[in-house]
Amino acid sequence: MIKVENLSHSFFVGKKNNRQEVSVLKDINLEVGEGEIVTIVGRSGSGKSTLLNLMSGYIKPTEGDIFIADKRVTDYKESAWAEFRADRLGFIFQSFQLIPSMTAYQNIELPMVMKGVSVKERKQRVVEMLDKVGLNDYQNHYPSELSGGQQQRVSVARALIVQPPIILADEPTGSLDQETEKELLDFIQKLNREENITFVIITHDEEVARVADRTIRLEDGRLAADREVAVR
Amino acid sequence: MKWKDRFQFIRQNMQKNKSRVFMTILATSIGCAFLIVLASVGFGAQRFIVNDIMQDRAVTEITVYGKQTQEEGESPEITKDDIESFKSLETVKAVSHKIQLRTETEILYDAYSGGSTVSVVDFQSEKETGMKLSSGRMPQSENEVLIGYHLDQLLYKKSDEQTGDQIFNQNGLVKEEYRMDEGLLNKTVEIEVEQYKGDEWITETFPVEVVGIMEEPARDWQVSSDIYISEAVLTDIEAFTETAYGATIHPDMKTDEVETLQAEGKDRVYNDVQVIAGNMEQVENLSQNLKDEGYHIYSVTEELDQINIVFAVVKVGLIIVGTIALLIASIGIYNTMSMAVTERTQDIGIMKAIGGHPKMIRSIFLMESGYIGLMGAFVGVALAYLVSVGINMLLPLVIQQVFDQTLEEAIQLSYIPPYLALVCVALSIGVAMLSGLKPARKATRIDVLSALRRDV
Repeated sequence: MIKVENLSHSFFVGKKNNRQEVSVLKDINLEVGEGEIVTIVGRSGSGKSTLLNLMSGYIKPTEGDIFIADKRVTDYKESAWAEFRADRLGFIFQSFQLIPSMTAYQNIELPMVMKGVSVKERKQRVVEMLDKVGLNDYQNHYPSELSGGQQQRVSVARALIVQPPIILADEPTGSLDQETEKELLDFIQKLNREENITFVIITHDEEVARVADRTIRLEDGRLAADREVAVR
Repeated sequence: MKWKDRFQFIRQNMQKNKSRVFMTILATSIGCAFLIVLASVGFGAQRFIVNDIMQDRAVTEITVYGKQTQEEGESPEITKDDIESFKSLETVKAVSHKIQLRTETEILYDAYSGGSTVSVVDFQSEKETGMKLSSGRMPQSENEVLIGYHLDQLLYKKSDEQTGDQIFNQNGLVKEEYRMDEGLLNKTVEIEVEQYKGDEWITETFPVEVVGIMEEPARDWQVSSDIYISEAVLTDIEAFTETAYGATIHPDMKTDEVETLQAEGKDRVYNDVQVIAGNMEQVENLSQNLKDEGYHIYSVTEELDQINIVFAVVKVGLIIVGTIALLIASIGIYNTMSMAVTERTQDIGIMKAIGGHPKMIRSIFLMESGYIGLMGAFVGVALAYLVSVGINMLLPLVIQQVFDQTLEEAIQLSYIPPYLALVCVALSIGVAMLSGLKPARKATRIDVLSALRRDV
């Protein structure tokens, strides 16, 4: 489903006369199969968020290639990435990234609004999704009126609403308490089992890594380990 | 994203900062209203002047004064052949032509008398040109005539006791107390002609029957005192005067001058020749044709063309000045949109992160600025109409107060044609969208990661 070949990425810091290249990812090769849950772990600064951002198309790699769903996305322009993200990718962020001026309903509906889905279909799918994530009673609440767990559920619902085959999650449990974290992980496993959705999750939480089929460890921008998790 | 959703989105966004949006719309509407009112003065003045020109002239009328002579001995005046050639032109609807009597005539009725200008007309042609009567009918037999609207008000009983000042009022008409009690319609009047024959002045009268009275002139100060007679009456007059067109012979004239007067008129020449085109569009071509053939002509459309050119320049100037106000308002729109983009950076970042297309984001901001322009234009147009009505209502009062004069007819100084309002609405939306272009581009270039990290 996702294939990364010889991927390297560097940032440039400093001003023109004193520019320095900081290498963040070095020669990464990995594959994520369809329906897999893969966690990417590593210390802070190991390059895991950069790897996810490269897979999301938020930044362009310095070297190497990325293939998603058999498509070489490395050289995609911004508009091509926008269409690709809207069709194929769902995103879950650590800080939820909900639009504060929109209600839970409107936030979940947003990807469909941007895709031009009809009002009738939108309504039906959002209602179903609200039911799925257990937020029926909170649909008219604004993000500021929801708990962290509820906001993350809205975020997950928004990611799932266009039924993407892949979900990229950046520290999805980072802002949640233990109980909510468990609920979310159960939900991810359920989605993976029932709808065969592929998950790539960035985390440094061992609990999260435990639900994964595979865990990839990054150290100083290099792939240090790629191992299957024995028991889920 | 569907258009309906875009509008919904824009409405939601604008509600986030109502007062700022309101002030921007207000500035745009003032700019738009200023532009319309300024241009409306140009339109109003043009309309007033054009109406003034058109008031007493048909637009399809071309006056022919004479022609360039190409051969020696050829008359520069309009002859019967010329009239026939005009009539044969495809685009000519009718040709009106007159022959003016070259003598002073008195009109007599009962004990009343007064001066008048006598002309020979072809009543059939006049009918075709659309001559209108205030009462009566067109003449059908030879001694039937048409008279001017004011002729009965120019006749009075002559006596030695009264001077002209006592008899005539300021308009040149006989004062009511000296006028006839009855009109001249269906009455027989006499045309009195004097001629110097032998060694004495001989007077002859020609009775004619008044069957129709011409329309009242368009302007208050015009006096219509003509008598239109048939060619047969002219022939009778000529028979008496023994000169062409009834020309008067004076005792001090030389013999050759008298002979010239007597010899003229074999080929009739016409004055006051009006060629009437089938419709307004044909006037320009017809005028050009007549000019090419060497005729000296005048048509109201030529004058109108010149006036329209002058006013087109004036209006463009006014619109440019007015547009400056709109451009100033556009700075406000730019500011509002820039603020909106800055405030919504995080929202834009989120939208881009989950698949928002840059084109869609740009269109939302462009539509938002266009919406401000549209609202501003609507309010501006309404405001402009109010101001325009106010100007037109106040103008007569101001003139009365300042110049101590009342206007004979209402002057519409400010006139807003519907297309001016539409052009200003389009201009307002266009200027607003141009102002929103840069902020909209800025919105599409927002970096997703910086926006999500709230670094922007």
